Amino acid sequence: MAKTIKLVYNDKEYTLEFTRRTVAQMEDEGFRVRTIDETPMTAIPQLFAGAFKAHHRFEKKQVIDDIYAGIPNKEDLLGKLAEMYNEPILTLMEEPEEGDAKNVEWTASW
Amino acid sequence: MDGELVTDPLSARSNERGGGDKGRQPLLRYKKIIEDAFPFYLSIGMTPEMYWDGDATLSKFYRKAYELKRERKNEEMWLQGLYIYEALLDSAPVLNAFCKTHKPLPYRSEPIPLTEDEVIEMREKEEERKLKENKEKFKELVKELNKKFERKEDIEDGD
Repeated sequence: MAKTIKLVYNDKEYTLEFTRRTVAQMEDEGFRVRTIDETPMTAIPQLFAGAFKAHHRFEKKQVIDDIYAGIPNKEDLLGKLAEMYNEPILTLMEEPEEGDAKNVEWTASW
Repeated sequence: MDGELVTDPLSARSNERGGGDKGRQPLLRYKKIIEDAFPFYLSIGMTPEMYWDGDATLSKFYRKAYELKRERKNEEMWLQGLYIYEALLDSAPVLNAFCKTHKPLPYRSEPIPLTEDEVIEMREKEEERKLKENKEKFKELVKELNKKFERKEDIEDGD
């Protein structure tokens, strides 16, 4: 299952998710993932708003801004949003999890 | 420098000074990666809706399924090769000028067992067939012996 964030605002449940289409749309609108470091004040709300496109594409911008303003632990949220945003790309490259464990090799230095 | 405006594109100005974008890393565009991979996923059975709007993790499982399909096809082709090889060996006497009989060996009566259950089933069938064969032989032997005894008794009675 894809990574999602669920939140409730004014008794309405929202599911935040990125699909390949919404990632491509955000890039078309000018969003670049590396701008999060350079201009976090604009890029993070943009990323947050982009997560609504998959399931709530007709939600008003004002409502999304209000939700963002009221969210606690914004730093944690950024981490989760970034993980979600990268998922549509990473899943094009990585193997299913069951195979990963078999390839693990590790050594201790003592 | 005199005619330079602040509104000039940054890259054009820096190129004139010989700097250009050489030191800059190109922006990584996710859209390009997604679009480049799209035909491959279409070819392995994903629909455009699934790829663009569906659960992103589906692509991993489609890829795994594709690998399994390829493995299965490879095994099927290997098995087909085995049948052909066996058939060639069975028909070899016909093709061999120095062979006395010139009779081909019969093609295998049943497919090659693949699973453990099929192997066990085949072994049981073979044992059953051999048992039946031996039973028939034994019956024949008993019949022959009985006939011999009957003949001996007739001779003795005649005396």
